[in-house]
Amino acid sequence: MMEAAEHLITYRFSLFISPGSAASEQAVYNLKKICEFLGEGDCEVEVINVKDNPQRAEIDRIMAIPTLIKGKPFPALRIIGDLSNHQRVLEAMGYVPRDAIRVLPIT
Amino acid sequence: MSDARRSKVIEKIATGIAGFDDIAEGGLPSGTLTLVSGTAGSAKTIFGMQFLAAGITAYEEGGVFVTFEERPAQMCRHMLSLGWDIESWENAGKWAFVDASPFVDVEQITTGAFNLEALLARIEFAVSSVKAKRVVMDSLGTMFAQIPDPLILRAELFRIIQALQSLGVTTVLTAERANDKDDLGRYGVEEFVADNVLILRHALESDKRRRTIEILKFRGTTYRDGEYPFTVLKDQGIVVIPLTSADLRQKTSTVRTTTGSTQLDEMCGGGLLRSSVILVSGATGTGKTLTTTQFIGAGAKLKEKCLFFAFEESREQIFRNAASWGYDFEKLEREGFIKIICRYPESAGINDHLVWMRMAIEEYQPQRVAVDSLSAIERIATPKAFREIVISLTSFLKEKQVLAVFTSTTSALLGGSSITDANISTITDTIILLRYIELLGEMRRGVMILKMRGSAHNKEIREFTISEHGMTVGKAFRNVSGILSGNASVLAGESELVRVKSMFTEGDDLS
Repeated sequence: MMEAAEHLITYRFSLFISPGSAASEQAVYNLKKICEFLGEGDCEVEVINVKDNPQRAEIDRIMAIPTLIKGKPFPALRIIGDLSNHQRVLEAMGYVPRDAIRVLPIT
Repeated sequence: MSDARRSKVIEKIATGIAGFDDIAEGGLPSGTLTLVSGTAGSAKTIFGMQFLAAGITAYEEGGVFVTFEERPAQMCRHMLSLGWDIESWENAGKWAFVDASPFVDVEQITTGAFNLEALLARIEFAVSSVKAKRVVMDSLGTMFAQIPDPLILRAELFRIIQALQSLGVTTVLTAERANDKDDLGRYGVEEFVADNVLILRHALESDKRRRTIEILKFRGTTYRDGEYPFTVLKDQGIVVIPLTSADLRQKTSTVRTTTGSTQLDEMCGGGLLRSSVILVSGATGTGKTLTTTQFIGAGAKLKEKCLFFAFEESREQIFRNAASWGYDFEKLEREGFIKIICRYPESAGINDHLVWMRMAIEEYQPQRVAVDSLSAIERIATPKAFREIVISLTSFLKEKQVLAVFTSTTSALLGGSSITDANISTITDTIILLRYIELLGEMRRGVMILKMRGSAHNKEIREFTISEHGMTVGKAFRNVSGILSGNASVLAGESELVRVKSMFTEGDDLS
């Protein structure tokens, strides 16, 4: 079951935030929007509060909040900031629209 | 009221860095931030590491190291050579790393507002998990290199520092300088965040590298001014050399002891004074090594422990020389009365030499020390550094109440003085001059006591000869003047004239 689920999701995100910070709240909202755009069923989102879980921040070597880690698909990517520039975020993720794949010539 | 006021007095936290707590008059001001500024390779990181390591080993205080530069695993490996097993401290819950080193394997971009609360949360967590009293952040420059927005970093840095202060920890923040003349306020935060500023230098002066440490400011508390030499030793880390004890409180002694030559003792008013420092100055071959050998040999005969630092000759040469004057140093060393340490001056920096000499003295606890020769050490130092080192060594020897002989080589064969003499003559208690005297086609040797603190002494320049029995001091050079200036001339005095005449009464008739 787990393995099947693994294949189903396309995007895995870890978002490190601190509650009460405006930028964090912005990032949560923006990530939601981005996932809606990418297809909610394709995204797995984990939100980590660094105050509750500093060990996790240590393991992932997080300095700033908000920080978004895109664990999947490969290659990994880290985005620092409130993610308000959706265009920039998608570009950095190397997002390719589904339509674009469809029209790629098969060689 | 008075209690509240008293609680505001700044206490100090002993760093445990050898010698540093002396110049800091107790240590770093507790609960504040100290900026440690220095060029590349000036041992800033080691200072920070040692601050934590000493906290753990000497004071059982936990430490947190926030690294913005090297990975923790790498640092652990590097610090093993200094004798610090950081991994074991980590496992014992005494040391924690906060790894803020740059992310190189994963792409990272920045878009939109952010702050460094995650870093702060990690530092706070690390501090509480090891009950840290000491925190090190290494370094300011790499922090700025990593955080894309300097304005945000400045604001966040203030927040982190405030948080550390409210945790009551004592913090060291390292900062790099491009060169030793560089402005301290390179990042525009230094003056504001730091209560205390230390400067580490690794300056190149006349082709010689030399490390020094200076306390630039301590807010609201005292320290010793000036630059102090230090060195980084294997298994010990930083060792700061306090130039002198705070005050001249060396005990003096009126007890006399032998130089190893009864005639020389007589010239010194009955012998050398205990716990004094004697400088023997002379050109090459005038008998400095003999004087040293006699001094050491006589000490050993009195069952005193004698330490011989040789910078010019090997053990074999010293044994051979001593044997030719009837001293069996090899045997005496086996019996534990003598310890000979030979080193090339060029094998280490001058600060290192001083530190290991101090260590050897500390370990062997000798009553007599000989250094042959100071001029050899002078080769590797600038005049200022050399002078400081001699002051420091002299003050240490006096503190230990050791009787010491230093030799110094004059460059001119006749008369002459050396830079060594000029630099250190005021530091030594007694100066013995050994001089060549060219007299009527002969090279002869003269000895005189130039000065002797706390004692009357013979003021004559006496002739001496060297034979297999050692030094034999004879009569004074009467009717000869200008010996010390190197232009000896015979005055028309009776005794010399008689001697001169006698030289021509027999033998070849040249007329």
